[in-house]
Amino acid sequence: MTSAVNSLSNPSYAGGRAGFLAWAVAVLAAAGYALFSLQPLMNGYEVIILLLAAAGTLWLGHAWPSFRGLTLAVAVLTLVGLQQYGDQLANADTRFLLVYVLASQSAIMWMSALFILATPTYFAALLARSPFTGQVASGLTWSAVAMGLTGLLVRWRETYLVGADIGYIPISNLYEVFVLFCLITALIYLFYERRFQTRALGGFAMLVISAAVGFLLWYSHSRGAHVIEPLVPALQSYWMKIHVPANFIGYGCFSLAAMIGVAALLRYRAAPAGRLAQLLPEPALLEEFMYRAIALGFAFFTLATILGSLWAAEAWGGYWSWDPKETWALIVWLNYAAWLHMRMTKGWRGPAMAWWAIVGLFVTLFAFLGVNMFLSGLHSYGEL
Amino acid sequence: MSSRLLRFLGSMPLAVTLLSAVAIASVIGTLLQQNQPYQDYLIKFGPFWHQVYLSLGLYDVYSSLWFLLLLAFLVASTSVCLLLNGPAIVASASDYREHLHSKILAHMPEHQQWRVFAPLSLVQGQLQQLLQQYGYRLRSRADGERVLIAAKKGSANRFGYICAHLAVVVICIGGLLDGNIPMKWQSLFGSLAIETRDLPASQVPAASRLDTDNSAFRANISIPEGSAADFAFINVGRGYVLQELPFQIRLKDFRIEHYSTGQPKSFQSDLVLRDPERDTTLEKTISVNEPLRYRGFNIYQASFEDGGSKLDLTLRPLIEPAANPEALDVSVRVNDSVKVTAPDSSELKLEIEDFRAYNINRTAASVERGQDFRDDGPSFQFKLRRVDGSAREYRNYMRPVTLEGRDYLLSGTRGSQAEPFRYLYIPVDAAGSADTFFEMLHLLHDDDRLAQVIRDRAGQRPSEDERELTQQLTGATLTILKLFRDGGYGAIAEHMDTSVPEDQRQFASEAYIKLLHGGLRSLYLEVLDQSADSGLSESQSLFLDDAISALAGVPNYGAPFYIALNDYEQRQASGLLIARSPGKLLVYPGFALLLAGIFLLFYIAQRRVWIELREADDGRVQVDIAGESNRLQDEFRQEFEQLASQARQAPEQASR
Ligand code: HEM
Repeated sequence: MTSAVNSLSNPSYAGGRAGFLAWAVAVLAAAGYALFSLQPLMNGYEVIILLLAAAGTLWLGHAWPSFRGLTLAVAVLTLVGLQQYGDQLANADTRFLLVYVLASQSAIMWMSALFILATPTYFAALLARSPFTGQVASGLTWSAVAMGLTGLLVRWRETYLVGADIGYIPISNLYEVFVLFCLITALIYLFYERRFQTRALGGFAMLVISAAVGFLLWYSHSRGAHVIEPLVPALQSYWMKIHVPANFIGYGCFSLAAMIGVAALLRYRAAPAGRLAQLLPEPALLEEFMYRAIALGFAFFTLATILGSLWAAEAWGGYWSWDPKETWALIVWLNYAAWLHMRMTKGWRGPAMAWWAIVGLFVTLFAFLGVNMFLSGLHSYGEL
Repeated sequence: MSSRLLRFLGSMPLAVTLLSAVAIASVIGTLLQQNQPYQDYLIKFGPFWHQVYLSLGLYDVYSSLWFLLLLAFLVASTSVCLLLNGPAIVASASDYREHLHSKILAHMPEHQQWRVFAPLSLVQGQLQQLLQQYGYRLRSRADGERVLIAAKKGSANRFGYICAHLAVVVICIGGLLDGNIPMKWQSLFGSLAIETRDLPASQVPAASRLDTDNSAFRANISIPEGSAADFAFINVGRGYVLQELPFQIRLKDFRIEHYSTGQPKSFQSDLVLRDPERDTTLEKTISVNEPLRYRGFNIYQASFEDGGSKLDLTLRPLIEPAANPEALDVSVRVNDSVKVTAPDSSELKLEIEDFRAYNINRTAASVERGQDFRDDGPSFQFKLRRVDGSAREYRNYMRPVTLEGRDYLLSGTRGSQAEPFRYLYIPVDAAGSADTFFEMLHLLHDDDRLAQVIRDRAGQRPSEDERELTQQLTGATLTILKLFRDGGYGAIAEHMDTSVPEDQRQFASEAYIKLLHGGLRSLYLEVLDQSADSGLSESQSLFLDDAISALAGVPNYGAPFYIALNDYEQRQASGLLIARSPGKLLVYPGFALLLAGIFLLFYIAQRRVWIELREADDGRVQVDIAGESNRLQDEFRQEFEQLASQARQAPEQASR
């Protein structure tokens, strides 16, 4: 454990200080270039969002060396993708690199395949206690994230190629946010993988991501959901760019906490000297992991709900309208507030909290999907 | 007694119970659709459960008394919790605990001990400096032969508790201020009367008006282009009250822009706001995410509808068209009605309900490509009301719509809003008009000409000795044509059921259909002015098939005419939402407080370190270092170990 903590606080091991500085300069240059060249497309708020995003990236890269590698890989892949496109959407059907790798749909397919491969690999690493297999699993997961992120960035450009007046940030429909969900959940998991120095939980985390990938594939094949459609007027807002990511950090954390809950339940049942007890981390670690995921998720979910409320005030004329989506956000929020209280003030631990985290996933799932599917309201954008 | 009540209110079990209760009530409010017409609930749940749900307020959960009480309890509980715990938390956060007993140090989560050869005061100075380097604030206390350095950092964590919980209270109070409690109060105990009649604004009685002082409301108004309003309506339960505004809003223009793919891209209203009190005039274009803010009022683009477009219509008779072949021209506005006389002299009221300039549809192919769309052109919706009050609803399209390569004038009809429209497809001829169809219809209804046409066209073929058979056949054809004309295929089937023995029906029905189609083909040829043997081109036979289907539909169409839209002058109305919510002034700072509080609670840990220095018997100084943290224990352990190892080295370096 101590060694884990040491490597966390010591950001110099990969690439060293000079490496970080070079990378930081590259990030700032990219942000500056975007600011300069995309200026006509952005309003003041969007400039602020861009600057905050750059600051966030710098902070993450500072605290987490592997993240720097990810940004570099994604930047290269995305630039190649954009270069291949030029200003012709039709190139998606003819250029080899686009057809097989870099067009958003192809990249997202790669992401899906890699996530699905990572799942059994993590479990194999766990059962065989093979550190090498574990590294492979992590590598697959990182690659999946890189491909998915590239897919979304290339898609951003594609929306503008479909029509200059159509372009939008590709986290605006269910297909796109599912990709975002997979990416964010995987990144949060990878962060904690390093933080807690254990790959034992990778398989569990990948299960929920694989389920999302399954839904994504079904949704895009049977419903043609991957098609780029223009945004309805209600969604054309800079709020989209902050409200949605904040929400999905919340959803990702809660999903992860539920999967740790599953692992914890197995661990509690394991015979003290049994094989399972050997394989899975100590209950204390699992509980800490679950708490940290829920705390992080709660913070971001609070932020997301507040942003949503401010957006609603601007678009619908009220910061709270008891619209089903809003109401379910409140329910999710109250649920985790109660969870945190029981842990902090009553010191609750053990199976009950694990079960509660799992139930929380279903509540979250309903808020995320069920509301759109079963309930009507302002968020279904039926009217305007 | 009262302290016991307070302790109950501020207790964690009550808090968690209240959180769960609010969550469950919220679930009910989303699963049961809120604020629907009572009629719908009655049908869904039956009279008994409807009454139960109604009295529980389940149809409007979020403004029901019990739900508001629940929220009030949550606010009370959180406030009391804050009152009970807050002072102690602040006190303990600012307390360095420099009186800590030596024995306790050994039981701290982190503890190390060593001895060092150096003067105590030197060690003390160095360690204090080290702690300060780590960001600790400290207080030292000398007590006989021992010195205790008490240090802490991250006390903001404890203020996080206060911020987060105060924020919940502040947000709820702000929200309640903006809620409809004041109005509820006035309508329960005051003079405010909820109006349920459909009145023009000027006739709404004073008891149902709120003057411009009302500080918190959400009201709606639909303003037609070119018109103005200085009021809006607040929906209350099943009625409304009128909210007066201190300014007048005029709608100059309303626009819908479309993407190249046909979907709507923006809804925009050009508004002119005139404020007599301040003698100002303001022009602004608002759209969905860009409201107009003025004097604490926010004006939003909420919806749109028709604002009274003028439609030029032609009524073409469908019944008794032979006696009244004349079409009737009328001009009428949307939301208006006119009296019209049907060909059978019955009186009808034509009520125009809606008009749409576009009907944008996406075809299966367009979904694939995400590109193409089809605009089926303008359409309008109307009701034809009979004297007895019963009415059918119709939706007609102005231009022919192409389906599978053929063009039709579409007219949908339904008996009630619960049903989908069922469409009559009137085929359009090669010249692009419905005239051919209507000529066939007229001919079918003109008994004399009909008989003549059938006879003439039948006479051309059979030989002399078949004359009697021919006569029988034309007679039968005429009977069937008339049955078909007045009742469609259903009438023919009914006729067969009463006049043909059961075992011959199969055979008879085939014969009937043959005669019917032969007869209708003759009518069509007559209209085309062609001889029988010249035959029909492929498109002509398709037209004939379509005409037969349409004629079969006419008897069930329910209207004495088909109403064609010739021209229109569109006038739209923009639906505005006008809101005033002073509670924002509490709610928004509350949001900031909540975020700050949660961040402090989760990501700032309160860390304490104590270092006890004591002259030992061997002349050395004994150092006892201990520490604890209320969050992020792993990180603290790491920091503590680093701190301790540096603390061990410091005096040795100094003494060297
Ligand atoms: C919607 C209402 C509430 C919200 C959102 C809320 C939120 C929170 C959060 C986020 C924490 C931090 C948990 C952690 O550090 O893991 C917390 C702690 C706490 N809450 Fe609440 N709370 C609410 C209502 C209440 C009420 C009604 C009480 C009174 C019984 C209460 C008492 C406490 C206490 C005693 C703590 C522990 C503080 C500490 O020692 O760190 N909370 N609350």
